[in-house]
Amino acid sequence: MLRIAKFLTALFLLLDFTAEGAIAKNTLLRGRVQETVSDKPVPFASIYFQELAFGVATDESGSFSLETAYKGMAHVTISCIGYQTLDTLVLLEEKAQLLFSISSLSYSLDEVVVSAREAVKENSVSLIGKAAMKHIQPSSVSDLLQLLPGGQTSEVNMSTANFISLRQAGTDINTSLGTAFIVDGSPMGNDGNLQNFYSLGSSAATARLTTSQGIDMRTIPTDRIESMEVIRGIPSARYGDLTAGVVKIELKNGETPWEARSKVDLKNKLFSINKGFVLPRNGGRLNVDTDYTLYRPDPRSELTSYKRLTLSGRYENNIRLKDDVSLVYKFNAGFTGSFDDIKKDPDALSKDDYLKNSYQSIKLTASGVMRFENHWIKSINYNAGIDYTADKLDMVKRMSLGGTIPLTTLATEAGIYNTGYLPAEYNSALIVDGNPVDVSLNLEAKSEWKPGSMFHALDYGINYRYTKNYGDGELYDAQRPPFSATKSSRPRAFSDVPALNKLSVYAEDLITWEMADNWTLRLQPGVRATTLPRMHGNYRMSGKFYFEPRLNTRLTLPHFMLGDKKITLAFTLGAGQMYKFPTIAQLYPDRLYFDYVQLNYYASNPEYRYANIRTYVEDPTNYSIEPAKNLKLEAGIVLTAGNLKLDVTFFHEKMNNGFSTGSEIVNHNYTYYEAGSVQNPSQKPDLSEFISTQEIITTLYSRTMNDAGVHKTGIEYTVNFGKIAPLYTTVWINGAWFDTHYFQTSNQFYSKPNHVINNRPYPFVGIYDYNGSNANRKSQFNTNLNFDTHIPLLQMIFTTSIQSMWFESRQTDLNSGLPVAFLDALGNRYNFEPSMTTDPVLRHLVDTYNQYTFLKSETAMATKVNLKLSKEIGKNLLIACYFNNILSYLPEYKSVYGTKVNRTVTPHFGAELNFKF
Amino acid sequence: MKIDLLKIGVALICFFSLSSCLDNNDEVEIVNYSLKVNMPSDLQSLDASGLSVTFKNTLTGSVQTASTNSEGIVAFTGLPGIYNLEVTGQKTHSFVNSNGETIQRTVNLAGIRENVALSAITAALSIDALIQIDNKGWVIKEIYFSGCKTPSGGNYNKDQFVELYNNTDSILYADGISIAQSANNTQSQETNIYASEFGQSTYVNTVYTISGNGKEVPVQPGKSILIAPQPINHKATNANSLDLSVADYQWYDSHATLSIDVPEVSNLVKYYSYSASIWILHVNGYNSFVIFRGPQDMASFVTSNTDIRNGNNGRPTTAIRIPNEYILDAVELGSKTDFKSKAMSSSLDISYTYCSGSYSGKSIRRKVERVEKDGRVVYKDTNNSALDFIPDATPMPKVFTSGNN
Repeated sequence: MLRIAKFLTALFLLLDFTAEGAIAKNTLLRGRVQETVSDKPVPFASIYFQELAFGVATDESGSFSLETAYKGMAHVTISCIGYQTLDTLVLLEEKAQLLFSISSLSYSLDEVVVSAREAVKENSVSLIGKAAMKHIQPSSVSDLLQLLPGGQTSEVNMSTANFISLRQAGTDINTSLGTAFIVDGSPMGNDGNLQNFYSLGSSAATARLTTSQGIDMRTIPTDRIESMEVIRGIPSARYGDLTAGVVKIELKNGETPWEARSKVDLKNKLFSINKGFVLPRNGGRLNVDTDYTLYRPDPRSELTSYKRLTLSGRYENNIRLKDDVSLVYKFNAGFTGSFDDIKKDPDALSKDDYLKNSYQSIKLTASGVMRFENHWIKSINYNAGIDYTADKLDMVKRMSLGGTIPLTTLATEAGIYNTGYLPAEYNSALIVDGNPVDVSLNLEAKSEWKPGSMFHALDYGINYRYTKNYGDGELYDAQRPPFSATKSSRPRAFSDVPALNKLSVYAEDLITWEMADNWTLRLQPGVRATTLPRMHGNYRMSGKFYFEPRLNTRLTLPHFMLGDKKITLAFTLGAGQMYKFPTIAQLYPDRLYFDYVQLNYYASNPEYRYANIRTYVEDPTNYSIEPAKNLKLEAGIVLTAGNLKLDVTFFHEKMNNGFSTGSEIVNHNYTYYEAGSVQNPSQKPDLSEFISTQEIITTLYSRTMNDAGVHKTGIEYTVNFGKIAPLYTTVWINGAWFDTHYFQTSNQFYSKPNHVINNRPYPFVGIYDYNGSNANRKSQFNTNLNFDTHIPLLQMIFTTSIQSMWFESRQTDLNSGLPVAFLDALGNRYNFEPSMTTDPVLRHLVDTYNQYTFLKSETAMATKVNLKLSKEIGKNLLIACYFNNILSYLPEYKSVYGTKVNRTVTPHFGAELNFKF
Repeated sequence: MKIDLLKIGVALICFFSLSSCLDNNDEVEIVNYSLKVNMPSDLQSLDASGLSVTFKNTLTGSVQTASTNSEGIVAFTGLPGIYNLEVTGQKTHSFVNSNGETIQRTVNLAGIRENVALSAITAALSIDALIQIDNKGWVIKEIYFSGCKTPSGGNYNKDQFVELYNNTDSILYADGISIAQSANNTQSQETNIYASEFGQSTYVNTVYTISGNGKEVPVQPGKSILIAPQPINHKATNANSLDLSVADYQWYDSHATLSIDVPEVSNLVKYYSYSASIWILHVNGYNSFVIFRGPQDMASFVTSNTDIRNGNNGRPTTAIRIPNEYILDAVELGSKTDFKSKAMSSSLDISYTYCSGSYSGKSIRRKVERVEKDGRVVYKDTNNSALDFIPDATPMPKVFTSGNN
């Protein structure tokens, strides 16, 4: 704590120093936002000045004021619910009067953007606005991510958890876990999830697990979203506990009519309704909405379904606390219910079986922005959120063991126990009850400073995050366990698992430097430091600070004319380091139980039956676990020439210590009693009567490690050719080339062949410098060519998207197949010599491969055509429909195995209605 | 190749039926055909007469039987169509063994060809007769692999059993006999990686042996050895199951948590199992089954005959090579309607048998050939399991009757 205090003091001293210069030569700007057609003032619109990293809002009369030391051209974004977002450039100078006109969001007006845009920022950010969201007709946020470079339209399966993938060919858990989802300034959390019960034994349950995998995007509805930003590049130092990127969601706030939406396609049924009220007498704004979604992966069957029900209410108001202090305060309350339900066919024999997986979350947030005029602190933002989740897996499984077996799951401590036998058949009920609570407290302040020609917008703050699971945990009858295996589990209460605390401070400076000859350089250096208070001293992370320096830059060249075209050119460059801290499940795994049957004496006379087990308990906690670290580098070019706009970003991301599951090795001793060796089978025997042998068994068990390597390289591009006026059509291209290498950075992997040699388990454990054939490199290259036809007269938008995947390839990393060394049951290590590959016992340690294993497999090109149509009818009705994969070109190709591959895709359709009333 | 023949055959039949219709109104042309039986290379010098050849029409099911002449040729007259051809018979020959003695030996011959198109234009066809293994009196009387259902509908499979039978009129010794299942799954779409060695060896992935020196476990004529993974009265826990407390041996995987050891019943010695936990027979019967008598030192036999080669998935596959001359009896098992690839040589079993469903409570049991005057049952053994076994039979552990299902 002392170190944090020191750090904070240093930070504030630095800021105090910067504050000196800030007050002196400020400019006072006033302005107004009005509606284009009627010139009516637009109240509560937000005006964001990029160079200032600062935003203000209009009051009831549509006016705003701003005091700043900044002078010169500034990028401004004006947005308001129900209006088309406007990006523009203004000159900020003394006594400037700024007038912004924004258009309401209507297809009868010219400016409607249905694509994802690249933000004019230092790093790569995709913006997805309201019109784009409406046009894509989404069921959840997963659908929206298809708009990102490299994304393609595909049918989202809502019957399994949906995780994000970013800038990669393939998917991995470090990316989905390392992407922060921030809704209205408050991070969503899933780090307290402990639902990963050791032996679910059910692929249906596993497919719905989200433990240590990040946010399940199925749970985020889209109708309440005003705008979404996906930071693919290097996020600002404000954002932490992430490695891959940020999905930033802003919810609707402000007056709207009743808006209802109803979407139907083969598998989805969605209904949502929302309304924004303005309460009388400056009573503030209240938004309420609800959403219900039903998804059935097989529309003919009601046995498997996914349901989502959400409710949300948001209240916002402005008050002036003093003459020069104003406050916008906001309360959010939301409920999300997400329910998976799998029943067995009533005609099936195990008809009692079912699986219900529910996620119910209540989130309350209080946030606000306090603005100070004439003060070295321009604003203070606060955001306090608490998220209480009830995760429940409720499963009944008919255990058919095929015959009787010894019961091994009684003892909770290591030792030798007498036990009984399990019946051949029983119903086992399992409940996994988790109640993660996630508290986040964020405090942020902004200042500015202008010494000489450089303008500094400063942003600094502190985040605190508390994660704890209060659930009852795994509940089942240990006498009738829901699994049967050697390595087993015992019921555990999640409330016994310690809490996780994270404390971070950050500071960032956005420097705008107007150089000579209209060259502009923007630099955004920032640093973030995080520590884990109250972490037990056994952990290597305890008491350490993790620093994350980040830098984004943008150099804008003076524009020039080429013929009648205005050419602007900018270059961006960024580098940054990010940490994702382990989840509770990774930090505090459940103990592992190993039960060895020492005597298995199943006499014909039930009185004499006798089973004796030896139980070992192992703690798989990895005390030396470290946060996963990702290093990101990117360089981009932004070119505009008249209507043409080109954005190309090259990136390289390097993670060498991502979270992974590795294995540890342990030797267990037990006494084996030969059941048949007892002399007098006509009475209950004593252990001493049996012939016994001492056994040593080498067992592998898994634990969380830091050796996942994920290296992402790629080029993302967006080209907008502008509007072809006579055709009312905007033509744009986006796509990406991704090359992703997934591997393991450790060079020590254990593997034990699953063979039996001379009546006993295989005696050796091989040590390898590779992990199976898991390491691989995937690549893909795609182009989406889009035609957005917007005919204001018909109030209609029609888009044709020709999506081509030029290739997708995968290649497994070469390995020798030979172990480096091997261990015997006593733990002695021997080097593996090449001559041993022919030894009858040792050759089982050698991995052999066919001639295809390490070849690169590559698909041929695939092109699909998707159509989307949205049409407004009058002012209050919008109908939309989509036809995906309506045409496709999927040429036959020869696979790496020499076989011909024929591909097909199924077209899918959907339609929806949107009303206002 | 089979399918191609089939297609060509059907096409030809259609063509010929059509043309014959045109020619002769409604009369169907009868084909006259001759088939040559090739004798095994050891018996080339013998007269090939007296072998029985059956022609089974796969469409109509009609069966015709004919006997070979001294050239090994049979004449066939019948409707054109797709036929399954089978040859069986017995020959006695004499040969000189390594000690220079002249030995008289009677061998069973058998051969099979399936889905052969017979028509007027079919080129001359032949069928190979193979020397069938000598089971030295031991037969697999019954295998119950399918398991059954519990009264509440759950699966129950640990009541499986295998029964070996002394089919002779003299005492035989059971110790030293090993039971094993084929490494190849007969339902596998993939090529059988051992197929090229079928003539010499059979590859198995379990070896469990009755311990003894070969003179310790006498079995009377007409008596059996019953082997089960759980030799208990299963009716006590599952009314649909069997009483296997009469079993002679248990195959128990020691140190297992997934099974039980019954102290009253001796365990087989486990020399090899692909399974690190327990061995349970495939409940659909997709692994074929062999019994063999290996050398006295089974441990070194298994070690020196361990074969590791790449399977179709590219991963090393381990199996134990059993020379065919060690094999006492074998039965090929597979799916009733969808048998895909043989796991052993035709000289061990020409065809295959089956149970129609998993957990059906049915077994495969050998048919009774005759009952001797003293009541001893002699089971049918022609190394053709389709003829020798009753598929979907009711399990009858330790019961020897002529009941046919």
